[in-house]
Amino acid sequence: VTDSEFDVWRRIGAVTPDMSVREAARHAMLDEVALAGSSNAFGHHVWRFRNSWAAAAAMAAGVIVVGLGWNAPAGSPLHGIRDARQGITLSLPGADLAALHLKFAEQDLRDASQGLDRTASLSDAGNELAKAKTLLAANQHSALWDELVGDEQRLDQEVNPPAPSPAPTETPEPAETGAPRATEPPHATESEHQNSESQPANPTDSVQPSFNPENSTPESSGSSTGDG
Amino acid sequence: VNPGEPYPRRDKHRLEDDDSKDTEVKPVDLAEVVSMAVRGEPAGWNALFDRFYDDVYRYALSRLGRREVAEDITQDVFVTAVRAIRSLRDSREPAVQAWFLRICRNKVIDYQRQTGKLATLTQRLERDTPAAAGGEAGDERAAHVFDALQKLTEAQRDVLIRRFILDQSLETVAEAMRRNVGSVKSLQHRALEALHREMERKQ
Repeated sequence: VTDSEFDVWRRIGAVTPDMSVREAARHAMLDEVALAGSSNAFGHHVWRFRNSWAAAAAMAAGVIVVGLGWNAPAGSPLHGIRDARQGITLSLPGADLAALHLKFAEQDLRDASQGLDRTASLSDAGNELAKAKTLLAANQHSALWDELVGDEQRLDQEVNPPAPSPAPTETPEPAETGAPRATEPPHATESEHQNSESQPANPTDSVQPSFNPENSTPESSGSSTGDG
Repeated sequence: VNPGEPYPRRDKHRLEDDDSKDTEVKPVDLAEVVSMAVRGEPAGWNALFDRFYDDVYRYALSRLGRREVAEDITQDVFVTAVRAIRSLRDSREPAVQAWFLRICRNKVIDYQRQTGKLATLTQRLERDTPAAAGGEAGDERAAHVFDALQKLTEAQRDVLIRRFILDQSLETVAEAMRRNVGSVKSLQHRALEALHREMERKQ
């Protein structure tokens, strides 16, 4: 390749582009930039639209889950939501903690009475009542204390339900011990149990007639008299 | 341009130069320019256009020899670049230039496939580059070179254009072509030999 041929080729390759053509190319490029930008913006809007639908669906699912778990009984998979709700309620400023614990305990008792995981519900109720009792210990003359006592009795009944009533054909056996009778009303309180053990309502039902001092003669009162 | 004078290097457009002019982009800014272009900011694209338009145009013109076609292809290169900018991974100067020239090379190949055999070199030189070629005698000589260039391989054409049209250094060519300097020297030597053989065969 001769130098002259090569120089000619190099000069051809070095021709300066026409400025008007150059600016036309620039405008074409910038038009494409604008077009790409608008298409990207459209894609962004599509993404946002899809994303908004996804967000709405996720939010709806969340609301449903929270709704299902709002009063989920103890032992259920969503009970954590109810625990969280109760925790938030307790943490609110000005909340009456004792009243709230009683309220939660009563809800647990209702769950237990409805057969919703009795063991876990009664356990929760016991915990709530214990907390309420701690808070109310200093003020045992308040209405809440009475409510607490009533709830404790309900809990006791749920934990130790009364024995089923015997068949009507069976003859009721006289109670030989201080145990409550089968005919005792189911809502009898613990204190009533204690009363029935110490002082029977009907003395004739007692199995210990020797308590009557009139019947306690020296002949019948002790075997040692005959021995002597 | 006097035929006997060595063609002036276009180093003033290089990003590495400290005495840069208004249209130049400093090295530290090229990455930001590319980032702006990726974000679709016109300022970034204007900077890339100012920096690489001449290189792309000269590459196309030296491959095809037709000014109108080179102008069309160069415009098409930048339009295509807008769509493909996310494929540009390296924002260093040689890599960005190589990326533009790669697009241009593909456009040239597509053009040559579509048009088949090029029009007679004499016709296109008469229309496109009469002044630059230096008259009829120059047209014929350049026509011989263009015909001979078509017989070379892509790599051989690339190295000749980069070295003698774009005035790139061996190191720059090596980086752009992902070869070592010795390989580029060897490739350039073989390309010149092949071009010489083709020119002799034509004569």
